[in-house]
Amino acid sequence: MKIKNMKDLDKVKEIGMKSLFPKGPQIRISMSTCGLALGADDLFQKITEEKEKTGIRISLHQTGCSGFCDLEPMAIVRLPGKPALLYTRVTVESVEQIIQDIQKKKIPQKGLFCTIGSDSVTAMPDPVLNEIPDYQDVTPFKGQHRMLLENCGIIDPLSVAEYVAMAGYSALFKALHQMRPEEVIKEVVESGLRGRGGAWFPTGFKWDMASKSSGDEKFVICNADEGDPGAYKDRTIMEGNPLKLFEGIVLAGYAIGSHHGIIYLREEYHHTFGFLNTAIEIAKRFGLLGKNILSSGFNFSLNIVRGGGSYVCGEETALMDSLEGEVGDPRLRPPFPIEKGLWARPTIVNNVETLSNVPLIIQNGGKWYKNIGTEKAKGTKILSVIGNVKHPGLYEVPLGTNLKQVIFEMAGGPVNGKSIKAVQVGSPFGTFIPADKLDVSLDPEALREIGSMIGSGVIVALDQDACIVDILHHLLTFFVEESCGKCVPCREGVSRMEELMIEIYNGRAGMKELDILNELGETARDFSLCALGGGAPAPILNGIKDFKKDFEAHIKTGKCLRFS
Amino acid sequence: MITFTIDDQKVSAEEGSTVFKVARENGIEIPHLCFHKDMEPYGGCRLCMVEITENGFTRLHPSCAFPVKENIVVKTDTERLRKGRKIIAELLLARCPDVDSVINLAESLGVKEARFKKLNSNCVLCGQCVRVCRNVAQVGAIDFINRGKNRYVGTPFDLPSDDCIGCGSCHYVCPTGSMNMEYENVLRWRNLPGTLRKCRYMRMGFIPHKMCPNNYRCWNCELDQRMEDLAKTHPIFILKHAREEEKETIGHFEIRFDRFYHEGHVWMKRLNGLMRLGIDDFARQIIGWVDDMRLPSVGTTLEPGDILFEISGNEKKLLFHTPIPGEIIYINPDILDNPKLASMAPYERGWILSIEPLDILRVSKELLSGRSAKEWLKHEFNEFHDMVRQETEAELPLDKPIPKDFAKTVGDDTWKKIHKRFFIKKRKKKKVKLHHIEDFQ
Repeated sequence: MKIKNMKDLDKVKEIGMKSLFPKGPQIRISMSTCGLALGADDLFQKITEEKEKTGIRISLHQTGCSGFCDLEPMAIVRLPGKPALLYTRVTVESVEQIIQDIQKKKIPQKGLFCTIGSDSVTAMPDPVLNEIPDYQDVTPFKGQHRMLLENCGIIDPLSVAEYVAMAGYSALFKALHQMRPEEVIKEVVESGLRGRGGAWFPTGFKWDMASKSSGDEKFVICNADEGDPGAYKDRTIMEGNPLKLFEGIVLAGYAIGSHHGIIYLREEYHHTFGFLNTAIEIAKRFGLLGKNILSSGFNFSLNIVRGGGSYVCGEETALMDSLEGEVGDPRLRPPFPIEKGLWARPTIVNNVETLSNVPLIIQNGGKWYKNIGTEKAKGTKILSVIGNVKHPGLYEVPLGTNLKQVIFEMAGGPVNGKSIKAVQVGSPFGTFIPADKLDVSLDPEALREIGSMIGSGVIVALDQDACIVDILHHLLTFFVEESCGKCVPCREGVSRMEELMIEIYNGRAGMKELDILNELGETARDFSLCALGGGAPAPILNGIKDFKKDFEAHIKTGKCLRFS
Repeated sequence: MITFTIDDQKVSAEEGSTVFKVARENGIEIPHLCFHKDMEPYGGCRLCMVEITENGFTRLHPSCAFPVKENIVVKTDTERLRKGRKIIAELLLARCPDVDSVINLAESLGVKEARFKKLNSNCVLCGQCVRVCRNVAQVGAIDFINRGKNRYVGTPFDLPSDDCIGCGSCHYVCPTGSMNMEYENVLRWRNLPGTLRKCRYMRMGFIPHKMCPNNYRCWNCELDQRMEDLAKTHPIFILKHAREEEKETIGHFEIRFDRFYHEGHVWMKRLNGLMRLGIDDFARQIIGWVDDMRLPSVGTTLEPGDILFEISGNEKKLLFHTPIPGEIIYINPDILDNPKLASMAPYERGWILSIEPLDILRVSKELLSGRSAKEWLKHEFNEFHDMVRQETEAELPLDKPIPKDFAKTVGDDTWKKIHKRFFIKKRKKKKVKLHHIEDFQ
């Protein structure tokens, strides 16, 4: 059915509410890429078999991932009159017991992690539940400010009704029926939203320039290349709440006067590709994409193009060349994409996370959005915290949150009683911040002041056993592998840096080589064509400065610091 | 005229020029490797980087690509630039230690040896050969293969090229002398029988027919000598395909000078012995939006005046004449996937089909190009707007493209008149079968 007016929207919302809060028991299984890799398919199958065997009436749904993939497979069980319960690391063997418990109206025990929203249910007191912490009070969810990830892992990502029940599409409806494109841009400008892909460019300003550019066609490109090692926030949004992303893309198109959107999806996200295509078909059927969206007369078509496995194609001009069928080499700028982008037409390229913020901004207003974050950086940021911490995963926090708080409180600090040696913020281009300098605010300005950067939000924690020389060499092999080869400072300079790093690692080089590394790094930083060559030297050069002991150990003995 | 400062010297320049060119005009030579005066800038060697202060911010930019702007302050020879250039030269020297031009470049920047392991390559990956083959000769027989430090220049799948026309422009522009495509192909062509020994000037499109009488020893050839004397550079650059003047806007219709036009608003371009066709910007703006097409099948033979294809959009249709006699060889698969391309990029990816021309000389006088095409389009522009004024009593703006929905809003009678006056002028008796796009899948 096509959603045409407020009445239709309300009808769909009602269906969604009934689906989210049914009268009978309900089970939801996380079936994103991570869940599937850990057996969620088998889990789903086993539950349907048990249902048939026992004749029990339970509604069964799929959900996306909440960002803590090592806790998968996750399940949410809702018993009538009780708050929803989150289960982690659910096994196929435990399904029989779970179904039996539900039949007897008992709470299944194995794998029970927390309740979700305990105070939203007026229920009979349950002694078992008093022992179980709530979602908001348990690591790793405690302290997060989940706006973008709010629905991920909770709703069925392919259900329009459930998304509408969670206020989905109210923003697009409002924009298409009650706002002019300039007003949409005004809200985004007021909100202070900045690009979340790593460049942190003011989104509203970019849209404003694009809307004023002249051209017979304009394009909205959603950059879903997500190449930064360790980043998977975009995949989580795409597999957990794709309709929110689509809503943001259509809002962008409406704002700048574009009728064509393209999602450039990283080739390695095989499951996401099929999944997003299904989501697009569903959205079209409900009148949320294609011709005459929400009966407003606005047309917008969206399709997905897969990349070819190249990191540099996450750079916006290389991405556009790749879409045009060329090899993905970055272009010279000027001209900028907002004047001459895809097929020489005005184009905006925005990250998945950036676009997912837009429905919230239009729904609640730019003023509301401005209240979250710091003076210059507004809103939340989804951080991907990985490495030697107890709870690696996705942490959505307001910009300006302290790094120490994220590492030690929210992510639980280092494992096995070790101590943290360094934390890289903004991997792969961010610097490694030594353990005694972790008291820093996570926002672009504060990090730039200490010589680091926030990038796309990947935070790598290293404990005392890590070797900085080894890690820096690892980063260099990544840059060398992914360099496009167009410009000399990156292709030749960064690859020579990698060669030198091997020599240093093996104890075959000395202080002279460190000086040459610095020279090469400075040249690549200042003379490269794009941000790959321009950004690669930063972690290396800062690492040499801040972790002298690690380098001295290798130079003198050819062994890592912890072995010397 | 734009005025700005280079190295404390006040200079003036034409809008659209680049900092590098203006510096050169004023006696300031900036180091460079991948720059070529007759091609679009590449920005790969990074030797020509200069410090530019604009609105209070100083940044490094490649001077070969930076457009001149009012009041910018350019510095071409600071300590930072000198240091960076030395490192770049050292890196190139380590890559190509035995190449004379690289050794000379390094020496001119004060670099005598490289502190890195030698790669013993003889190609600096400046991209000039790729650019001249693709954009100037418009052949594209060679391109970059692989990414990063494993990148090299070669042919698809490293196979001998069937597309190379032996013009030798790649060898001509190569700064290291290592580009050998021409010679490799010449060796193969020496094994060809008589009539297949096409002279390279015939392949380039300068002369209609000539068989090579010199066993491909072009350096001994009188014609080659004459052409080079005429051109004062490699003759391929006379074709002017890669220059900035390659296109122009007449009123609000875009015309490209690297192809032929027919009065029915179809353009044609030689490519590998075939003629590639598409609709021109005039047709594109009138239909506004292409939803669907009906095309002839591969193998159909056509005479000038036959209907070639039909385009529909905005609830209207347009038919187009065949401009030349020939056989349909190939239909653009991209257009079968997405007919919209014909309205999005009519001169580029939205081309429609390729014809093998039979006896093109017979109709060559009716084909318009260059100045004659420009005059013709001016005439069409005026006639179109006169007709619109008469028929609809409304005035379309003369300096903006035709509104996208023009075809939808215009009445059926007016559309018929437009169709008859500009697109289909004569009706031939032969019925050509046109197929819907689905029939091609």
